[in-house]
Amino acid sequence: MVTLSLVDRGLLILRSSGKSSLFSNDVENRLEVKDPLAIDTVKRPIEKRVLEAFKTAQPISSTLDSLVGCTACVDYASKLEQLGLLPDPETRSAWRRRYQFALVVLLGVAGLKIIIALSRGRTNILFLIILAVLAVYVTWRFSNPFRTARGEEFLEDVKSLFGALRLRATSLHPGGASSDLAWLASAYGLLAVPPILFPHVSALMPRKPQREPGSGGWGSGSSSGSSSGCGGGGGGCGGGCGGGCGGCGG
Amino acid sequence: MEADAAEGVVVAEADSMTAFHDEVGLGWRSDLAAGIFTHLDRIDLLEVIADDFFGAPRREVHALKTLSSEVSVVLHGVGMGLASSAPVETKHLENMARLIDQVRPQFWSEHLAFVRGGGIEIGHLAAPPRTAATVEAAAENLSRASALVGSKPIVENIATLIDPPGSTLSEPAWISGILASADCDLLLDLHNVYANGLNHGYDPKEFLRQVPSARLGVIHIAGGEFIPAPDGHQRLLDDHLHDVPDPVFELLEEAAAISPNPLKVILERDGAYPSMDCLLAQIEQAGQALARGRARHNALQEVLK
Repeated sequence: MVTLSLVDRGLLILRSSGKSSLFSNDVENRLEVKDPLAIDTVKRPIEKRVLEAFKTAQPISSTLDSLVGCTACVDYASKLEQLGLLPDPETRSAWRRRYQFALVVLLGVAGLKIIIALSRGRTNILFLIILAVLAVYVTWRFSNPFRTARGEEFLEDVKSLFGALRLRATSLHPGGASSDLAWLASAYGLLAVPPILFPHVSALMPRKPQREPGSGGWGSGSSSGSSSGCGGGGGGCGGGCGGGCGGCGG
Repeated sequence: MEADAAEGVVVAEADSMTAFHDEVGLGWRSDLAAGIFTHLDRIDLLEVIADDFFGAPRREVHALKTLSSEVSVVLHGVGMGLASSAPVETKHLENMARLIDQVRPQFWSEHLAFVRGGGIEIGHLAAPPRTAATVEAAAENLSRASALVGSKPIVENIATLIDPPGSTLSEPAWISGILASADCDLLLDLHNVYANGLNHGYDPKEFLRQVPSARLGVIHIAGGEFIPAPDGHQRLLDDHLHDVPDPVFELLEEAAAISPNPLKVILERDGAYPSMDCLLAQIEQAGQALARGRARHNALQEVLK
Protein backbone atom coordinates (compact mmCIF):
# COMPACT_ATOMS: atom_id res chain seq x y z
CA MET A 1 0.00 0.00 0.00
CA VAL A 2 2.74 2.39 0.98
CA THR A 3 4.74 1.44 -2.09
CA LEU A 4 1.71 1.97 -4.31
CA SER A 5 1.15 5.41 -2.86
CA LEU A 6 4.82 6.33 -3.30
CA VAL A 7 4.73 5.19 -6.93
CA ASP A 8 1.57 7.16 -7.55
CA ARG A 9 3.12 10.25 -6.02
CA GLY A 10 6.14 9.89 -8.25
CA LEU A 11 8.60 9.23 -5.45
CA LEU A 12 9.24 5.75 -6.79
CA ILE A 13 9.47 5.06 -10.49
CA LEU A 14 9.09 1.80 -12.33
CA ARG A 15 12.01 0.69 -14.48
CA SER A 16 10.40 -1.80 -16.81
CA SER A 17 12.20 -4.84 -18.20
CA GLY A 18 10.92 -3.76 -21.59
CA LYS A 19 8.10 -6.27 -21.61
CA SER A 20 4.51 -5.21 -21.49
CA SER A 21 3.83 -3.18 -18.40
CA LEU A 22 0.77 -5.31 -17.78
CA PHE A 23 3.19 -8.05 -16.80
CA SER A 24 5.14 -5.82 -14.53
CA ASN A 25 5.61 -8.44 -11.85
CA ASP A 26 8.40 -9.66 -14.07
CA VAL A 27 11.49 -10.20 -11.96
CA GLU A 28 13.52 -7.84 -14.13
CA ASN A 29 11.30 -4.88 -13.26
CA ARG A 30 12.67 -2.50 -10.70
CA LEU A 31 11.24 0.27 -8.59
CA GLU A 32 13.72 3.03 -8.04
CA VAL A 33 13.77 6.09 -5.86
CA LYS A 34 13.34 9.02 -8.20
CA ASP A 35 15.15 11.50 -6.02
CA PRO A 36 17.08 10.27 -2.96
CA LEU A 37 16.78 13.75 -1.45
CA ALA A 38 13.01 13.31 -1.40
CA ILE A 39 13.40 10.64 1.30
CA ASP A 40 13.91 13.38 3.84
CA THR A 41 10.78 15.18 2.73
CA VAL A 42 8.29 12.39 3.48
CA LYS A 43 6.81 12.59 6.94
CA ARG A 44 5.78 9.06 7.78
CA PRO A 45 8.50 6.73 9.06
CA ILE A 46 7.05 3.82 7.12
CA GLU A 47 7.28 5.77 3.86
CA LYS A 48 10.83 6.80 4.66
CA ARG A 49 11.75 3.17 5.33
CA VAL A 50 10.21 1.93 2.10
CA LEU A 51 12.03 4.60 0.09
CA GLU A 52 15.29 3.64 1.82
CA ALA A 53 14.70 0.01 0.89
CA PHE A 54 14.18 0.84 -2.76
CA LYS A 55 17.51 2.66 -2.94
CA THR A 56 19.08 -0.75 -3.39
CA ALA A 57 18.64 -1.98 -6.95
CA GLN A 58 17.01 -5.39 -6.80
CA PRO A 59 13.78 -7.03 -7.95
CA ILE A 60 10.68 -5.56 -6.39
CA SER A 61 9.81 -8.79 -4.60
CA SER A 62 13.24 -8.91 -2.97
CA THR A 63 12.88 -5.35 -1.72
CA LEU A 64 9.45 -6.06 -0.33
CA ASP A 65 10.78 -9.18 1.35
CA SER A 66 13.61 -7.16 2.89
CA LEU A 67 11.02 -4.99 4.60
CA VAL A 68 9.56 -7.91 6.50
CA GLY A 69 9.62 -7.06 10.19
CA CYS A 70 11.08 -3.61 9.67
CA THR A 71 10.78 -1.33 12.68
CA ALA A 72 8.55 1.18 10.90
CA CYS A 73 6.23 -1.61 9.77
CA VAL A 74 6.08 -3.14 13.23
CA ASP A 75 5.41 0.30 14.72
CA TYR A 76 2.56 0.76 12.27
CA ALA A 77 1.14 -2.64 13.13
CA SER A 78 1.48 -1.79 16.82
CA LYS A 79 -0.63 1.30 16.29
CA LEU A 80 -3.32 -0.84 14.70
CA GLU A 81 -3.04 -3.24 17.62
CA GLN A 82 -3.47 -0.38 20.08
CA LEU A 83 -6.60 0.65 18.22
CA GLY A 84 -7.87 -2.89 18.59
CA LEU A 85 -7.99 -3.45 14.85
CA LEU A 86 -5.27 -6.09 14.77
CA PRO A 87 -4.83 -8.63 17.55
CA ASP A 88 -2.19 -7.73 20.12
CA PRO A 89 -0.08 -10.44 21.77
CA GLU A 90 -2.57 -10.73 24.63
CA THR A 91 -5.49 -11.23 22.25
CA ARG A 92 -3.55 -13.76 20.23
CA SER A 93 -2.64 -15.58 23.40
CA ALA A 94 -6.33 -15.68 24.40
CA TRP A 95 -7.22 -16.98 20.95
CA ARG A 96 -4.52 -19.63 21.26
CA ARG A 97 -5.87 -20.78 24.63
CA ARG A 98 -9.35 -20.98 23.16
CA TYR A 99 -8.02 -22.94 20.23
CA GLN A 100 -6.15 -25.34 22.52
CA PHE A 101 -9.29 -25.89 24.57
CA ALA A 102 -11.34 -26.53 21.44
CA LEU A 103 -8.63 -28.88 20.23
CA VAL A 104 -8.70 -30.88 23.45
CA VAL A 105 -12.49 -31.16 23.29
CA LEU A 106 -12.51 -32.10 19.60
CA LEU A 107 -9.73 -34.63 19.81
CA GLY A 108 -11.06 -35.95 23.10
CA VAL A 109 -14.50 -36.60 21.61
CA ALA A 110 -12.98 -38.06 18.44
CA GLY A 111 -10.64 -40.28 20.46
CA LEU A 112 -13.46 -41.42 22.70
CA LYS A 113 -15.64 -42.30 19.72
CA ILE A 114 -12.78 -44.20 18.10
CA ILE A 115 -12.17 -46.15 21.32
CA ILE A 116 -15.88 -46.96 21.62
CA ALA A 117 -16.02 -48.02 17.97
CA LEU A 118 -12.94 -50.23 18.28
CA SER A 119 -14.19 -51.73 21.56
CA ARG A 120 -17.36 -52.74 19.75
CA GLY A 121 -15.31 -54.37 17.04
CA ARG A 122 -15.95 -51.76 14.39
CA THR A 123 -13.01 -50.66 12.29
CA ASN A 124 -14.76 -48.29 9.85
CA ILE A 125 -13.37 -45.23 11.60
CA LEU A 126 -11.72 -43.52 8.61
CA PHE A 127 -14.63 -41.13 8.10
CA LEU A 128 -14.49 -40.20 11.78
CA ILE A 129 -10.78 -39.50 11.50
CA ILE A 130 -11.29 -37.35 8.40
CA LEU A 131 -14.05 -35.43 10.18
CA ALA A 132 -11.81 -34.89 13.20
CA VAL A 133 -8.96 -33.59 11.04
CA LEU A 134 -11.36 -31.30 9.19
CA ALA A 135 -12.80 -30.00 12.43
CA VAL A 136 -9.31 -29.30 13.77
CA TYR A 137 -8.43 -27.42 10.57
CA VAL A 138 -11.64 -25.35 10.63
CA THR A 139 -11.11 -24.53 14.30
CA TRP A 140 -7.54 -23.46 13.58
CA ARG A 141 -8.69 -21.25 10.69
CA PHE A 142 -11.34 -19.52 12.75
CA SER A 143 -9.24 -19.15 15.87
CA ASN A 144 -6.49 -17.21 14.16
CA PRO A 145 -8.02 -14.44 12.06
CA PHE A 146 -5.84 -11.72 10.62
CA ARG A 147 -7.89 -8.90 12.09
CA THR A 148 -9.91 -8.56 15.24
CA ALA A 149 -13.69 -8.44 15.02
CA ARG A 150 -13.37 -4.69 15.51
CA GLY A 151 -10.86 -4.52 12.68
CA GLU A 152 -13.18 -6.47 10.38
CA GLU A 153 -16.06 -4.20 11.33
CA PHE A 154 -14.02 -1.07 10.75
CA LEU A 155 -12.88 -2.32 7.38
CA GLU A 156 -16.47 -3.07 6.36
CA ASP A 157 -17.43 0.45 7.47
CA VAL A 158 -14.62 1.96 5.43
CA LYS A 159 -15.71 -0.06 2.41
CA SER A 160 -19.23 1.21 2.87
CA LEU A 161 -18.08 4.83 3.14
CA PHE A 162 -15.83 4.51 0.10
CA GLY A 163 -18.41 2.80 -2.10
CA ALA A 164 -18.48 5.69 -4.57
CA LEU A 165 -14.71 5.60 -4.89
CA ARG A 166 -14.81 1.98 -5.97
CA LEU A 167 -17.49 2.75 -8.55
CA ARG A 168 -15.27 5.34 -10.18
CA ALA A 169 -12.04 3.37 -9.79
CA THR A 170 -11.58 3.19 -13.55
CA SER A 171 -11.73 6.96 -13.86
CA LEU A 172 -9.08 7.71 -11.25
CA HIS A 173 -6.12 9.67 -12.50
CA PRO A 174 -2.63 8.39 -11.83
CA GLY A 175 -0.22 10.95 -10.50
CA GLY A 176 -0.94 11.32 -6.81
CA ALA A 177 -2.98 14.51 -7.19
CA SER A 178 -5.44 13.04 -4.73
CA SER A 179 -5.40 10.32 -2.11
CA ASP A 180 -8.13 8.39 -3.95
CA LEU A 181 -5.85 5.60 -5.11
CA ALA A 182 -4.36 5.01 -1.67
CA TRP A 183 -7.79 4.84 -0.09
CA LEU A 184 -9.18 2.61 -2.81
CA ALA A 185 -6.38 0.11 -2.25
CA SER A 186 -6.65 0.47 1.52
CA ALA A 187 -10.34 -0.27 1.60
CA TYR A 188 -10.68 -2.82 -1.17
CA GLY A 189 -7.20 -4.21 -1.66
CA LEU A 190 -4.77 -3.93 -4.52
CA LEU A 191 -7.00 -6.03 -6.77
CA ALA A 192 -9.48 -3.14 -6.87
CA VAL A 193 -6.86 -0.90 -8.46
CA PRO A 194 -7.32 -0.96 -12.23
CA PRO A 195 -4.07 -2.30 -13.75
CA ILE A 196 -4.79 -0.47 -17.01
CA LEU A 197 -4.45 2.84 -15.21
CA PHE A 198 -1.84 1.74 -12.71
CA PRO A 199 0.29 -0.90 -14.44
CA HIS A 200 2.72 -1.14 -11.56
CA VAL A 201 0.08 -2.48 -9.20
CA SER A 202 0.53 -6.13 -10.14
CA ALA A 203 4.17 -5.97 -9.08
CA LEU A 204 3.08 -5.06 -5.58
CA MET A 205 0.69 -7.94 -4.99
CA PRO A 206 1.64 -9.94 -1.92
CA ARG A 207 2.74 -13.44 -2.72
CA LYS A 208 1.79 -15.16 0.52
CA PRO A 209 0.81 -14.27 4.05
CA GLN A 210 3.86 -13.14 5.95
CA ARG A 211 2.52 -13.34 9.43
CA GLU A 212 3.72 -16.15 11.57
CA PRO A 213 0.73 -17.35 13.50
CA GLY A 214 1.18 -16.94 17.17
CA SER A 215 4.53 -15.30 16.82
CA GLY A 216 3.31 -12.06 18.30
CA GLY A 217 4.93 -10.09 15.55
CA TRP A 218 4.13 -9.05 12.05
CA GLY A 219 6.29 -10.08 9.18
CA SER A 220 5.13 -7.25 7.11
CA GLY A 221 6.15 -6.32 3.69
CA SER A 222 5.37 -2.80 2.68
CA SER A 223 3.04 -4.13 0.09
CA SER A 224 0.05 -5.34 1.92
CA GLY A 225 -3.39 -6.01 0.69
CA SER A 226 -5.24 -8.97 -0.55
CA SER A 227 -8.48 -9.11 -2.38
CA SER A 228 -10.17 -8.22 0.86
CA GLY A 229 -7.99 -5.21 1.38
CA CYS A 230 -6.75 -3.69 4.58
CA GLY A 231 -3.45 -5.28 5.00
CA GLY A 232 -4.77 -8.50 3.58
CA GLY A 233 -2.58 -11.46 4.03
CA GLY A 234 0.58 -9.59 3.39
CA GLY A 235 1.00 -7.91 6.70
CA GLY A 236 -0.58 -4.95 8.30
CA CYS A 237 1.47 -2.11 6.97
CA GLY A 238 -0.28 0.67 5.24
CA GLY A 239 -3.65 -0.94 5.47
CA GLY A 240 -6.62 1.28 5.78
CA CYS A 241 -8.06 -0.56 8.71
CA GLY A 242 -6.73 1.65 11.38
CA GLY A 243 -5.60 5.09 12.22
CA GLY A 244 -5.72 6.26 8.68
CA CYS A 245 -3.91 5.21 5.61
CA GLY A 246 -0.24 4.72 5.62
CA GLY A 247 0.28 6.07 2.21
CA CYS A 248 -1.89 9.13 1.90
CA GLY A 249 -0.81 12.67 1.68
CA GLY A 250 2.63 13.27 2.87
CA MET B 1 -13.11 31.99 47.53
CA GLU B 2 -15.54 34.70 46.52
CA ALA B 3 -12.73 36.64 44.95
CA ASP B 4 -11.76 33.56 42.96
CA ALA B 5 -15.32 33.11 41.80
CA ALA B 6 -15.56 36.76 40.81
CA GLU B 7 -12.30 36.44 38.92
CA GLY B 8 -13.69 33.36 37.21
CA VAL B 9 -16.72 35.32 36.06
CA VAL B 10 -14.51 38.07 34.70
CA VAL B 11 -12.38 35.54 32.85
CA ALA B 12 -15.48 33.84 31.48
CA GLU B 13 -16.81 37.16 30.26
CA ALA B 14 -13.50 38.03 28.69
CA ASP B 15 -13.45 34.62 26.99
CA SER B 16 -16.91 35.16 25.61
CA MET B 17 -15.61 38.36 24.08
CA THR B 18 -12.70 36.79 22.33
CA ALA B 19 -13.12 33.09 21.73
CA PHE B 20 -16.15 31.78 19.88
CA HIS B 21 -15.01 28.26 19.03
CA ASP B 22 -16.46 28.56 15.56
CA GLU B 23 -16.13 25.46 13.41
CA VAL B 24 -15.91 25.02 9.68
CA GLY B 25 -16.78 21.77 7.97
CA LEU B 26 -17.95 20.14 4.81
CA GLY B 27 -20.98 18.30 3.52
CA TRP B 28 -20.22 14.58 3.48
CA ARG B 29 -20.39 13.15 -0.01
CA SER B 30 -19.20 9.63 -0.71
CA ASP B 31 -17.28 10.94 -3.72
CA LEU B 32 -15.22 13.12 -1.42
CA ALA B 33 -14.56 10.37 1.12
CA ALA B 34 -10.86 9.90 0.34
CA GLY B 35 -10.10 13.61 0.51
CA ILE B 36 -12.13 14.06 3.66
CA PHE B 37 -10.47 11.17 5.49
CA THR B 38 -7.03 12.36 4.43
CA HIS B 39 -7.65 15.89 5.71
CA LEU B 40 -9.72 15.30 8.83
CA ASP B 41 -7.30 17.54 10.69
CA ARG B 42 -8.56 20.49 8.64
CA ILE B 43 -12.27 19.70 8.78
CA ASP B 44 -14.06 20.42 12.04
CA LEU B 45 -17.34 18.74 11.26
CA LEU B 46 -19.22 16.88 8.57
CA GLU B 47 -22.82 17.32 7.56
CA VAL B 48 -24.50 14.14 6.39
CA ILE B 49 -27.74 14.09 4.40
CA ALA B 50 -30.00 12.16 6.73
CA ASP B 51 -32.48 11.10 4.05
CA ASP B 52 -29.75 9.07 2.31
CA PHE B 53 -29.70 6.76 5.32
CA PHE B 54 -33.43 6.29 5.84
CA GLY B 55 -34.04 2.60 5.23
CA ALA B 56 -30.38 2.04 4.42
CA PRO B 57 -28.82 -1.35 5.21
CA ARG B 58 -27.53 -1.75 8.75
CA ARG B 59 -23.98 -1.81 7.43
CA GLU B 60 -24.29 1.71 5.99
CA VAL B 61 -25.71 3.13 9.20
CA HIS B 62 -22.95 1.44 11.16
CA ALA B 63 -20.41 3.02 8.80
CA LEU B 64 -21.98 6.39 9.51
CA LYS B 65 -21.60 5.72 13.24
CA THR B 66 -17.95 4.93 12.66
CA LEU B 67 -17.60 8.16 10.72
CA SER B 68 -19.14 10.05 13.63
CA SER B 69 -16.57 8.51 15.95
CA GLU B 70 -13.79 10.02 13.81
CA VAL B 71 -15.23 13.51 13.36
CA SER B 72 -18.20 15.56 14.56
CA VAL B 73 -21.22 14.71 12.45
CA VAL B 74 -24.44 16.66 12.03
CA LEU B 75 -27.53 15.41 10.21
CA HIS B 76 -29.27 17.46 7.57
CA GLY B 77 -32.74 16.58 6.30
CA VAL B 78 -34.05 17.49 2.87
CA GLY B 79 -37.38 15.75 2.55
CA MET B 80 -39.44 16.63 5.60
CA GLY B 81 -41.35 19.58 4.17
CA LEU B 82 -41.65 21.52 7.41
CA ALA B 83 -43.07 24.68 5.88
CA SER B 84 -46.15 22.99 4.58
CA SER B 85 -49.78 23.20 5.53
CA ALA B 86 -49.81 19.40 5.44
CA PRO B 87 -48.44 17.62 8.51
CA VAL B 88 -44.99 16.10 8.18
CA GLU B 89 -45.17 12.37 7.53
CA THR B 90 -44.88 10.34 10.70
CA LYS B 91 -42.71 7.73 8.98
CA HIS B 92 -40.25 10.41 7.97
CA LEU B 93 -40.03 11.67 11.53
CA GLU B 94 -39.59 8.15 12.85
CA ASN B 95 -36.77 7.55 10.39
CA MET B 96 -35.07 10.72 11.54
CA ALA B 97 -35.55 9.80 15.20
CA ARG B 98 -34.07 6.35 14.61
CA LEU B 99 -31.07 7.73 12.74
CA ILE B 100 -30.42 10.37 15.38
CA ASP B 101 -30.59 7.68 18.04
CA GLN B 102 -28.06 5.59 16.14
CA VAL B 103 -25.62 8.28 15.04
CA ARG B 104 -25.92 10.77 17.91
CA PRO B 105 -25.16 13.86 15.84
CA GLN B 106 -24.37 17.26 17.35
CA PHE B 107 -27.71 18.48 15.99
CA TRP B 108 -30.07 17.98 13.10
CA SER B 109 -31.45 20.48 10.65
CA GLU B 110 -34.18 20.76 8.02
CA HIS B 111 -35.39 23.21 5.41
CA LEU B 112 -38.25 25.63 5.69
CA ALA B 113 -39.78 24.37 2.48
CA PHE B 114 -42.60 22.25 1.18
CA VAL B 115 -41.72 19.18 -0.79
CA ARG B 116 -45.03 17.43 -1.39
CA GLY B 117 -48.63 18.27 -1.97
CA GLY B 118 -51.69 16.06 -2.26
CA GLY B 119 -49.50 13.03 -1.70
CA ILE B 120 -47.23 13.88 -4.61
CA GLU B 121 -43.51 14.39 -4.03
CA ILE B 122 -42.34 17.36 -6.05
CA GLY B 123 -38.67 16.48 -5.68
CA HIS B 124 -37.72 20.02 -4.95
CA LEU B 125 -37.41 22.36 -1.99
CA ALA B 126 -40.19 24.80 -2.83
CA ALA B 127 -40.96 28.07 -1.11
CA PRO B 128 -44.50 28.33 0.30
CA PRO B 129 -46.40 31.60 0.32
CA ARG B 130 -44.99 33.65 3.19
CA THR B 131 -48.09 34.27 5.25
CA ALA B 132 -49.20 34.07 8.85
CA ALA B 133 -50.93 30.81 7.99
CA THR B 134 -47.72 29.14 6.79
CA VAL B 135 -45.88 30.48 9.83
CA GLU B 136 -48.44 28.76 11.99
CA ALA B 137 -48.37 25.55 9.95
CA ALA B 138 -44.56 25.42 10.04
CA ALA B 139 -44.59 26.00 13.78
CA GLU B 140 -47.06 23.14 14.20
CA ASN B 141 -44.91 20.86 12.09
CA LEU B 142 -41.84 21.84 14.06
CA SER B 143 -43.63 21.16 17.31
CA ARG B 144 -44.67 17.73 16.05
CA ALA B 145 -41.18 17.02 14.74
CA SER B 146 -39.65 17.99 18.06
CA ALA B 147 -42.06 15.77 19.95
CA LEU B 148 -41.55 12.71 17.75
CA VAL B 149 -37.81 13.04 17.14
CA GLY B 150 -37.01 14.16 20.66
CA SER B 151 -35.11 17.29 19.73
CA LYS B 152 -35.76 20.43 17.73
CA PRO B 153 -34.27 20.82 14.31
CA ILE B 154 -32.30 23.87 13.31
CA VAL B 155 -34.23 25.28 10.37
CA GLU B 156 -32.78 26.53 7.10
CA ASN B 157 -33.86 29.23 4.70
CA ILE B 158 -34.15 28.09 1.10
CA ALA B 159 -33.33 29.57 -2.29
CA THR B 160 -36.18 30.29 -4.65
CA LEU B 161 -36.12 31.51 -8.23
CA ILE B 162 -39.62 32.92 -7.92
CA ASP B 163 -41.02 35.10 -5.20
CA PRO B 164 -43.77 32.88 -3.78
CA PRO B 165 -47.11 34.23 -4.97
CA GLY B 166 -49.64 35.11 -2.31
CA SER B 167 -46.99 36.16 0.19
CA THR B 168 -47.87 38.85 2.70
CA LEU B 169 -44.64 38.74 4.70
CA SER B 170 -41.07 39.49 3.77
CA GLU B 171 -38.70 36.51 3.93
CA PRO B 172 -36.88 37.73 7.08
CA ALA B 173 -40.20 38.44 8.81
CA TRP B 174 -41.54 35.02 7.81
CA ILE B 175 -38.44 33.21 9.06
CA SER B 176 -38.32 35.25 12.25
CA GLY B 177 -41.99 34.44 12.86
CA ILE B 178 -41.38 30.72 12.55
CA LEU B 179 -38.29 30.83 14.77
CA ALA B 180 -40.21 32.69 17.45
CA SER B 181 -43.34 30.53 17.24
CA ALA B 182 -41.44 27.24 17.27
CA ASP B 183 -38.57 28.40 19.47
CA CYS B 184 -36.04 27.04 17.01
CA ASP B 185 -32.57 28.11 15.94
CA LEU B 186 -31.58 29.17 12.46
CA LEU B 187 -29.36 27.57 9.86
CA LEU B 188 -28.67 30.43 7.51
CA ASP B 189 -27.69 29.44 4.00
CA LEU B 190 -25.75 32.46 2.88
CA HIS B 191 -25.73 31.51 -0.77
CA ASN B 192 -29.49 31.24 -0.63
CA VAL B 193 -29.65 34.70 0.92
CA TYR B 194 -27.26 36.01 -1.73
CA ALA B 195 -29.12 34.34 -4.60
CA ASN B 196 -32.55 35.44 -3.36
CA GLY B 197 -31.22 38.95 -2.84
CA LEU B 198 -29.93 39.11 -6.40
CA ASN B 199 -32.98 37.45 -7.92
CA HIS B 200 -35.57 39.43 -5.99
CA GLY B 201 -33.77 42.70 -5.55
CA TYR B 202 -32.92 43.06 -1.91
CA ASP B 203 -29.73 43.67 0.01
CA PRO B 204 -28.45 40.40 1.54
CA LYS B 205 -26.66 42.31 4.31
CA GLU B 206 -29.91 44.00 5.25
CA PHE B 207 -31.50 40.53 5.33
CA LEU B 208 -28.86 39.45 7.86
CA ARG B 209 -29.72 42.34 10.09
CA GLN B 210 -33.43 41.47 9.97
CA VAL B 211 -33.20 37.87 11.15
CA PRO B 212 -32.63 37.25 14.88
CA SER B 213 -28.88 36.91 15.24
CA ALA B 214 -29.29 35.35 18.67
CA ARG B 215 -30.88 32.33 16.98
CA LEU B 216 -28.16 31.96 14.38
CA GLY B 217 -26.08 28.85 15.04
CA VAL B 218 -25.25 27.23 11.74
CA ILE B 219 -24.32 28.59 8.33
CA HIS B 220 -24.21 27.02 4.90
CA ILE B 221 -21.98 28.36 2.16
CA ALA B 222 -22.09 27.17 -1.43
CA GLY B 223 -21.88 28.34 -5.03
CA GLY B 224 -24.18 28.55 -7.99
CA GLU B 225 -24.42 29.83 -11.53
CA PHE B 226 -26.33 32.43 -13.45
CA ILE B 227 -29.05 31.12 -15.75
CA PRO B 228 -31.20 33.04 -18.21
CA ALA B 229 -34.63 34.07 -16.95
CA PRO B 230 -37.74 34.29 -19.15
CA ASP B 231 -37.68 38.09 -18.90
CA GLY B 232 -34.26 38.21 -20.53
CA HIS B 233 -32.43 38.89 -17.30
CA GLN B 234 -30.30 36.42 -15.42
CA ARG B 235 -30.99 34.60 -12.21
CA LEU B 236 -28.60 33.01 -9.82
CA LEU B 237 -29.28 29.31 -9.40
CA ASP B 238 -28.15 27.75 -6.12
CA ASP B 239 -26.81 24.52 -7.63
CA HIS B 240 -23.96 23.67 -5.24
CA LEU B 241 -21.83 22.83 -8.26
CA HIS B 242 -19.59 25.88 -8.16
CA ASP B 243 -17.09 27.48 -5.84
CA VAL B 244 -18.29 29.84 -3.13
CA PRO B 245 -18.30 33.38 -4.57
CA ASP B 246 -16.63 36.25 -2.72
CA PRO B 247 -19.90 38.00 -1.78
CA VAL B 248 -20.88 34.91 0.22
CA PHE B 249 -17.64 35.10 2.17
CA GLU B 250 -18.41 38.79 2.79
CA LEU B 251 -21.82 37.77 4.12
CA LEU B 252 -20.12 35.21 6.32
CA GLU B 253 -17.92 37.91 7.79
CA GLU B 254 -21.03 40.00 8.35
CA ALA B 255 -22.81 37.10 10.07
CA ALA B 256 -19.82 36.49 12.33
CA ALA B 257 -19.77 40.17 13.20
CA ILE B 258 -23.37 40.18 14.38
CA SER B 259 -23.81 36.71 15.84
CA PRO B 260 -23.27 36.30 19.58
CA ASN B 261 -23.14 32.50 19.23
CA PRO B 262 -20.41 30.08 18.20
CA LEU B 263 -21.04 29.35 14.53
CA LYS B 264 -20.77 26.11 12.64
CA VAL B 265 -20.14 26.71 8.97
CA ILE B 266 -20.68 23.98 6.39
CA LEU B 267 -19.40 24.13 2.84
CA GLU B 268 -21.90 22.40 0.56
CA ARG B 269 -20.80 20.85 -2.70
CA ASP B 270 -23.03 18.40 -4.54
CA GLY B 271 -21.12 17.64 -7.72
CA ALA B 272 -18.58 18.80 -10.32
CA TYR B 273 -16.12 18.22 -7.53
CA PRO B 274 -12.93 20.22 -7.67
CA SER B 275 -9.72 18.98 -6.08
CA MET B 276 -9.74 18.54 -2.34
CA ASP B 277 -7.17 21.32 -2.12
CA CYS B 278 -9.71 23.67 -3.70
CA LEU B 279 -12.39 22.69 -1.17
CA LEU B 280 -9.93 23.01 1.69
CA ALA B 281 -8.96 26.46 0.42
CA GLN B 282 -12.63 27.47 0.61
CA ILE B 283 -12.85 26.07 4.14
CA GLU B 284 -9.77 28.10 4.97
CA GLN B 285 -11.32 31.20 3.41
CA ALA B 286 -14.43 30.66 5.50
CA GLY B 287 -12.28 30.47 8.62
CA GLN B 288 -10.63 33.74 7.68
CA ALA B 289 -13.98 35.42 7.05
CA LEU B 290 -15.18 34.22 10.44
CA ALA B 291 -12.03 35.57 12.08
CA ARG B 292 -12.52 38.98 10.44
CA GLY B 293 -16.15 39.06 11.53
CA ARG B 294 -15.28 38.04 15.06
CA ALA B 295 -12.64 40.75 15.26
CA ARG B 296 -15.27 43.29 14.28
CA HIS B 297 -17.70 41.79 16.79
CA ASN B 298 -15.15 42.06 19.59
CA ALA B 299 -14.16 45.58 18.59
CA LEU B 300 -17.80 46.61 18.74
CA GLN B 301 -18.24 44.96 22.14
CA GLU B 302 -15.21 46.88 23.40
CA VAL B 303 -16.73 50.12 22.22
CA LEU B 304 -20.07 49.31 23.82
CA LYS B 305 -18.49 48.44 27.20
